[in-house]
Amino acid sequence: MTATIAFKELLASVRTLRFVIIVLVCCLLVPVSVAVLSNDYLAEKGDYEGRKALEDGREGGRIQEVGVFRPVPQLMALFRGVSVHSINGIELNDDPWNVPLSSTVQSPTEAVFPTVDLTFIIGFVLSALAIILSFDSLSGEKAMATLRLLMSNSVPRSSLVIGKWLGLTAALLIPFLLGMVISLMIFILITGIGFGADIWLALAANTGAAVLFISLYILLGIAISALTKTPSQSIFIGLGIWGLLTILLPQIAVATADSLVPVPTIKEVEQNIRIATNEYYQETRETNLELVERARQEGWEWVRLRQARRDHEYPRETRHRHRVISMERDYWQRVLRQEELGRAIALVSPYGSLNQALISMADTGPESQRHFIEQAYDYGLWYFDELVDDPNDSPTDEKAAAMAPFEYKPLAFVSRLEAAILPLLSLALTNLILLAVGVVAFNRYDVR
Amino acid sequence: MYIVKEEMGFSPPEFSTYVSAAAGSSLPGKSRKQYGSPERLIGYDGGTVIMKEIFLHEIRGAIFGGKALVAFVLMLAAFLISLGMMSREYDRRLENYSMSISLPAEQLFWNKIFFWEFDDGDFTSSDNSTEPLAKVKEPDPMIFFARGFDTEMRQGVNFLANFPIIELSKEPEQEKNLLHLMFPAPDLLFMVKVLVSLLAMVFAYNIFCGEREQGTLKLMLSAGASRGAVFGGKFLGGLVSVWTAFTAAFLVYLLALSFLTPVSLGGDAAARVALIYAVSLLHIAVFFGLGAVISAFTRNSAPSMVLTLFVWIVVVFVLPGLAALTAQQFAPVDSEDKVARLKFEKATDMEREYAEANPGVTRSYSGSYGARHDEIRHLIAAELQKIDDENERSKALQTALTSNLARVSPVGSLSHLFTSLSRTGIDDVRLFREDLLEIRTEMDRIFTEFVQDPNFLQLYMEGRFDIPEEILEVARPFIDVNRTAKFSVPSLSETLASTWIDFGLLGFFAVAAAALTFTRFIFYDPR
Repeated sequence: MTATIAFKELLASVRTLRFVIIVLVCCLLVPVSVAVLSNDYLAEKGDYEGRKALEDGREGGRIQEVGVFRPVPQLMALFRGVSVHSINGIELNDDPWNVPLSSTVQSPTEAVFPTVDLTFIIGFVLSALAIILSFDSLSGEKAMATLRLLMSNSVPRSSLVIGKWLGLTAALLIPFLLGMVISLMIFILITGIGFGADIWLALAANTGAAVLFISLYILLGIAISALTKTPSQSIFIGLGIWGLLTILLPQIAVATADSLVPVPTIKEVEQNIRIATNEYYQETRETNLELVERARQEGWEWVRLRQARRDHEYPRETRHRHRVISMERDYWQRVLRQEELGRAIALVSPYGSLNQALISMADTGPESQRHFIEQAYDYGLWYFDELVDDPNDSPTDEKAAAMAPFEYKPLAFVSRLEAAILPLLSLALTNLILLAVGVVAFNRYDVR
Repeated sequence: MYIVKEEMGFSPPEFSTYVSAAAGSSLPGKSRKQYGSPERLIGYDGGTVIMKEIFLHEIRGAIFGGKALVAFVLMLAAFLISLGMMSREYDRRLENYSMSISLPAEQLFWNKIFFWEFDDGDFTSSDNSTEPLAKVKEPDPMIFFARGFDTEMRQGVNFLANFPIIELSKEPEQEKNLLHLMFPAPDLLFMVKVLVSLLAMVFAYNIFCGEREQGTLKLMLSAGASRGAVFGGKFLGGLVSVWTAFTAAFLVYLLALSFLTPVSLGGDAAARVALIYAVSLLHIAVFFGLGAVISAFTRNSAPSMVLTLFVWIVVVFVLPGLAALTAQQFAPVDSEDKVARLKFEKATDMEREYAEANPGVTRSYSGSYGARHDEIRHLIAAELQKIDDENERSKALQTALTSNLARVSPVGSLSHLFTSLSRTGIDDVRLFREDLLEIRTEMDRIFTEFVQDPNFLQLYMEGRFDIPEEILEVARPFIDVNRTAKFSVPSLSETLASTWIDFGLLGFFAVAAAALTFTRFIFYDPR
């Protein structure tokens, strides 16, 4: 019975204007977005290779600094996440300033006309379309007086709700999946890159997240429809809730986390580091003045003076570097705590959950970036400590060239799934709650 | 019937269809009177009194029916949320800014000089850090209205020891909590673009088809109201209702802005805010008109609502998105990284050529040439500037393409107007960059002079690490430029000169939507 209703509902939806527009949006907007972002991906990949080639081809100079870079995640073309702002390379220095390099391919108008990626299309456009598709599924039938006829056929009320849910979800999913398939073909056509197994798994998981998300909004529409008497009431409430869930709740989550875990601004931290650095400069300078005095009395060559300077400067620098890094780490840990809290609260909003699940799986989320930074900093500490392990011996270019190069180990599929599991569970749970609300409300619904 | 057609000069199919249906046997008794005389159809029979009645009725309905109140509350809530979020962002921006300028410039300058090395009779720096002696622009309180390209204007003049001596560089992202980047704080523009437009459309989606459904349209027309009067009264009445709700919310927002935040809108800011208000009214008129068009093309409220929402999604989200994507496709821009690589390759090539031509020259261990090779450094700097300029040109092309394509949607024009009036628009970024280049050139000149000062060289060669006051005097102008250089602020007339086209476009959209609604309503079947 449920299957019959679902199928009937699907067929009925397919014949409406709504469906035509959904197909247009899914099969036009999605492929265009993926096509443009595929080119961005190619440009990013070129940048990565260029940076790496430049670093590898450098003659010497690796005593002071060494560049480490992060390969571009393939799914960036679909779910950009924070890759737009992310740090994709770090110039590790022997003095304390590690310079993060975060050059990404970004349109200059990004700030005013943001680039549309799949996360945005699913989160904003498809969710609104889902509400439009389902807001009058029960109240509309009531208004047309067909609900009475339907109920006179001894259909269980719960199977009507479930049937409508399945049918409408299918009506939105079929065009969306069609758009996805076209987009993936476009991606492979443009970039000429095939996906590895873990990318396919990530795509499957993301499709699952999209299905959960769309079904959630369909259920929301049905529940609202079962709680209201007329279609116009349904749409007003539906739109209000859509705005609340999609736009306001994530904002409120972020604001709450900010006020619960306050973090100083980066400039404040930078100033503290600068004060420490000035102290270090001051000490170095005093020692240098003493050295110059000695050099004058003993009649040193300037080369000897320079060597004497370096001899005391290197160990001092190493100490200072460790101090600054610990200050930076403290700050980062506070930021991370704030962020974690904000993300946990943002799970209340389906859009927040969806966003986190999609970008975690696509390897463009915050944790992927943290993962890279952690690895890079560890490598830097190891590299320079190893390089100047013998205080009597200055590091040489040969020694630097012989050091093991940095190799980025991307987050494993399992740990990405681990990050996405909570958002996915939250989506599934909201689905269940809304289904229950829909069924209960419709059981009490006056169909006349 | 045929008189009507002849006087109208054309025969739209729907009109003749229902006219002939009315003339047919299925509806006996319906006569010419039912549809009104040609004069009454297009409404120049002096129906201003009726129009006024409908107009007032419409406003009363909106106010006492609670619709206007709901709209007011929603807009106010949205505006205040935006205010709260933006004021947090503004505070942090201000804090960062005051930190940037509180650095004692002399001290930083001294640190730089101290770490310069004397090598082979020449000065080079052993310190490659991007320690800023930066000139950073003060955050503009107008970002509350539209953040626009504000991030683009966080660039500073950074004092790099390598060539080119002083470099423009973008400040790294100050926001380290990635959540803030995933869900950026909404400015007023966002709320007007998304929420106010939706509310305006919701006010209009059933003004005609709703009346028809309830059967009141028939009554109104049979009571002697001309179509023009009904259209004018309902359209203007609805529009004024939304305007009233928006005005109230906007006023409260402004009050909150001036009392709850330390922001003071001095100078021509008041005029700018007034213009932002005017633009918002135009924007509301456009979206109200769009809703009315849909209402005049549909017969029932439900399909009208669905169509309204689709149009809203397409106009607000899809069209601007497609515009940006298309521009990116057809006017690509090199990534910052690629530009940096090109610059590096160019500089390395030129250095190599220079070294081959001058065999005696050696490089310092940090890999750069010192101040003595000033000529080549400036040649290189000029070449690098050319690469930068080329990149700026392609960026400008893409920007122009995006903004022109986005003007297909009224939201594109709205974004332009809001950002330009908030001094965060495309032209403001261009102005900012010009200023920055000027400051850079000036600082570069003074610094070069300072390092080449023979007294300074003499003292340094004697091993004196503490540079006496009179030498630091030479550096004074450098520090002063950093302190006193001002970024120019575009005057209101300049802003208006660059945005008149958007005013025109919004006006055109508003008038076109109203005209289309009216034309369609003349032939609307009220039964």
